[in-house]
Formats: sequence, structure tokens, C-alpha cells
Amino acid sequence: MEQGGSGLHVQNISKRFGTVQVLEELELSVNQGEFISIVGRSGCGKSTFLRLLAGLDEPTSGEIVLNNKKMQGINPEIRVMFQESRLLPWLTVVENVAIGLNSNRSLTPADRTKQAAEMLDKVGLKGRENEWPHVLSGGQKQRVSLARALISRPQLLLLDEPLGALDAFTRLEMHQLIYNLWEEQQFTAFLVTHDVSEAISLADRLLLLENGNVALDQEITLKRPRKRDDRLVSELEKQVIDRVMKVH
Amino acid sequence: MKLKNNRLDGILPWVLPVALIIFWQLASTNEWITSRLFPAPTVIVQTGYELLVSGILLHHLGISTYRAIVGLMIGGGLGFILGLLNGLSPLASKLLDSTIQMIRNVPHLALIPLIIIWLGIGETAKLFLVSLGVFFPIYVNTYHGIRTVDRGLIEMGKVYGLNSWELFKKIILPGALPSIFVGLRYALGLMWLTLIVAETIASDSGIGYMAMNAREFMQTDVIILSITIYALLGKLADVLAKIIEEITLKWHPSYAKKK
Ligand SMILES: Nc1ncnc2c1ncn2[C@@H]1O[C@H](COP(=O)(O)OP(=O)(O)O)[C@@H](O)[C@H]1O
Ligand SMILES: [Mg+2]
Repeated sequence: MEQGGSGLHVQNISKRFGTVQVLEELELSVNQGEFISIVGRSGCGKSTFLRLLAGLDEPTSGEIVLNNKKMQGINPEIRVMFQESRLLPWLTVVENVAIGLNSNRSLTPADRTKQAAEMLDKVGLKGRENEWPHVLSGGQKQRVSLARALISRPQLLLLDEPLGALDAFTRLEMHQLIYNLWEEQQFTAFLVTHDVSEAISLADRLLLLENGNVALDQEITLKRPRKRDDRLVSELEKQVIDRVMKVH
Repeated sequence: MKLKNNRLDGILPWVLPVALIIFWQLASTNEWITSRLFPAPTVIVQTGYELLVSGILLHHLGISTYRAIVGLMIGGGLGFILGLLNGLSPLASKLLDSTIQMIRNVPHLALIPLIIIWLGIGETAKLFLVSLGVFFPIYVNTYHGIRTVDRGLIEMGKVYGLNSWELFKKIILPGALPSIFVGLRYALGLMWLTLIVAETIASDSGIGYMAMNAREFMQTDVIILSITIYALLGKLADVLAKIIEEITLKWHPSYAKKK
């Protein structure tokens, strides 16, 4: 595998917890701006993989290279969104979003607030700047979380089942929002989800994680925007689900 | 209709106490009960006024308040600092926590005889007892508060590049605050309790001493006055703590303004 080139290169990553081998010599190359969905059975190591990408954990062996640079620890170019919004309850909505600008030390507090308010507008929460997080609905909280993640225009956005706790309608709205922001900012995205149709409707590439490695790497060339009831989408969905169910 | 109900709701809780006081007044002035043992409320108010004018009341009140505040600062401050230290550092916690928990099992008031021998009945003894009394609730709740801050929030802070100081200031401390306030309010109760006992047993000034001294001369009015003042001080401290809590925790769902 080539060492250089822009984009993200996962080289021979293994991760073990004690005697449990979660990831085993995983190899992956991703172009800058690609949207990757990751599916797989519960416990197959999806979150572990994202945590390695995020620098929250270290691989047992192997390395990750982002734009020719070996990644080590936390990186301001990488943002993560979790299933829980992880907003700070004691900060207002706009202050929470401003946390996303923390790495940019040259900004004045007024600049931060201004940019955060603009970002809130983009995720459809104009006018809610000064509210406490606890008054927001689950979907609105995830919008704030998304605004916080994207306000610094990171190169890589990692999404660990961010819509898992939301109802079906809110999820559809969030798909649209994530898609629009991805088009605009052109970050590379990794979306872990247990919803195969969600994975298909958003991604350029769908990865199936199994036995510590990529068991399926499926390019999705369907035209965007994709409809849930599109025949091709549902065919692909069926294929993937059949493939997941084959083992075990 | 609604308004009338509201007014009634405001009045109802006061009915019983007011009735009791009126009854007490009548019983005492008509000598249904011995007024020497149960002086009438008006007599107590009169006594309170005389003590206030003569400056005696303020003298004792000042000293008691001083002891309460200094004791709270010392004991509470130490409890807070140790709670932070042990909450943040697993090493410190391993080293110190079990010892502190062991000492906590000794009722601090049981130490009074020992403390009188060691420190006499001077200021130090009283400050020591109050400090000891408030130390544990603040320590325990600070420690617990820090340890139970949502790990997910701390991890989020790390992803966003917060350094250790920012993590502490923006995430750990605010997260621990509700628990710390529980400790503070508990400590305030113990503060007055300890002070009453300490001033009653080993003192030559303060509200507790005033009551104890009055006993020698059978001045039941002064004794009841002292008890009332303690109750008021306790209430005042609690109200103050509650106000600070409401301002500091205004983000908290349980303090959200109900409209
Ligand atoms: N910090 C950890 N310590 C020990 N085992 C872990 C840890 N994190 C994850 N695991 C184990 O690794 C496996 C994969 O977990 P995870 O990546 O969370 O799976 P999922 O695909 O459901 O997100 C599981 O068996 C889990 O128990
Ligand atoms: Mg997971």
C-alpha cells in the first residue's frame, strides 16, 4: 500500500483488549471527502474503530495516516458525534457550539459567539441560542452537537450511531441535514449505524465489519438524493442484510 | 376562584403556629401554666428587646456568627480541597480516602471531653469542633460529585482539545456542583448543631453560653429566646445557601423557571 497521498490510510491496525482481539490487521484507504458507512453486528468493533480514528484510544499495532501524517492522539481536524449529544448542561446552546472553536486560540469571545450563532442557524436552530440544552428535544440536541462538531470545518467527522436514539421522522430530517453539510464542507465522514438503509442512503461506500476486519467494501454509486423507497436502494439493503446474517 | 384559593394556600400553613402562640400567650398571662417555666411570648419579645438595646445580644450573636463562619471556612475549605484532590487523583484517593472514612465514623461531638483537655474552652476548641463537623459532609459530597461527573462529557472535552485546567473549570467542577451544594446544606445544619453543643458545654460567650448562663438564674425567657435565635440562624443559613444554589445551578432542570 502506498504510504502517502492525501486522504486517510489505515495501515494494518489491530486492537486487543486483554485477550479479546477486536480488530485484526485492518487495512483501509479513504479519499478526502468520501462518505463511509460502517455496519456490523453489535460488538464487532465499530465503536472501537472510530475511537482509534478519533485518537481516543491507541491501536495495539499498526498506524493511521491522515494526509501523509501519522496520527497521534487528539487532532483538531477530527470531530466525533456520539449517540448521546454530550452537551454541557451548564452552558447555553450557543456556548456549547462555541466549544467547537476551542482549538482556535486566536478568536475573541465575541467572534466565537458570532460564528456559533451562524452555525446554529445552519442546523436550523436560529433563535434558540440562549436556551439551556435540557429544554431541547433529542433531535435538536443532536443538531447542536453537529453544529459544535462542524463549526471548525474539520477534515474528518466520525459519527457513532448519532441517530440511534431518535424517532424515524427526526432521523430523516437529520439525514438531510448531515448530507447538506457534507456537500457544503466536503469533510470525510465515517457513519456507524445499525440502520442499513440509513447507511445506504448517505454513503459513497459501505463497509461491513466482521471478525475484526472489513468483510464487505461496497461502493454505492446510486444517484443522489436517494429515496428510501428506491428499488435499487432496497435491493442493496436486502443484499447487505443477507450478507450480515450469513455468518453465525 | 383561583386567586382566592391561592390566598388561602398562603394563609393555611400559618394557622396552626399562630393559634399555638395565641394559646401560649393566654395560658401564660392567665397562669394556666406557670409563667416562670413558660414565659409569655410578649415577655420573651420584651427580653429580646432589652438584651438588644443593652448590646448583650449582639455581642453573643456576633461571636456565635464569627465561630460559625470561621469554622465553616476552615472545615469546609479543607473538605472541599481534599474532596477535589481525592476525586481527581486516584493515587491521593488510595492514600487518603479510607483513613478519612475511618475517622468519619467517630461522632465528632464525642471528642468534646478530649478537646477540652487538649485545647481548653477557648476559641480554638470551638472552631476545631465546628470545622470537624462541617468537614465530612463537604468532603464526602465533593469527592462523590467529582467521581460521578459524566465520563462522556470529559471525553467530549478531550476531543475538543480542552486542556486539564479547562476540563476542570468547564466540565468537572460544574458537574460536581449539585453534589457539593448537597454537602454544603448538610454542613450548615451540622455547623449550628455543633456550635450549640460546644457553646453550651464549653464556653464563656455566644448564644449557647447565654442560654446556659440563663439557666443558673432560671431565666427561661432568655433560654427560649436563645433557642429561637438558633432556629432563625439555621433557617437564614439554609435560605442563603438555597439562593446561591439557585443562582449557580440555574441551568439545572430542577431549577428551571416554571412559567
Ligand atoms: N475499553 C474496553 N475494554 C475491554 N473491552 C472492550 C473495551 N471497549 C470495547 N471492548 C470490547 O470490544 C468489542 C467491540 O466493542 P465495540 O467497538 O463497542 O462494538 P460495537 O461494534 O458494538 O460498537 C466488544 O466485545 C467489547 O466488549
Ligand atoms: Mg458501538
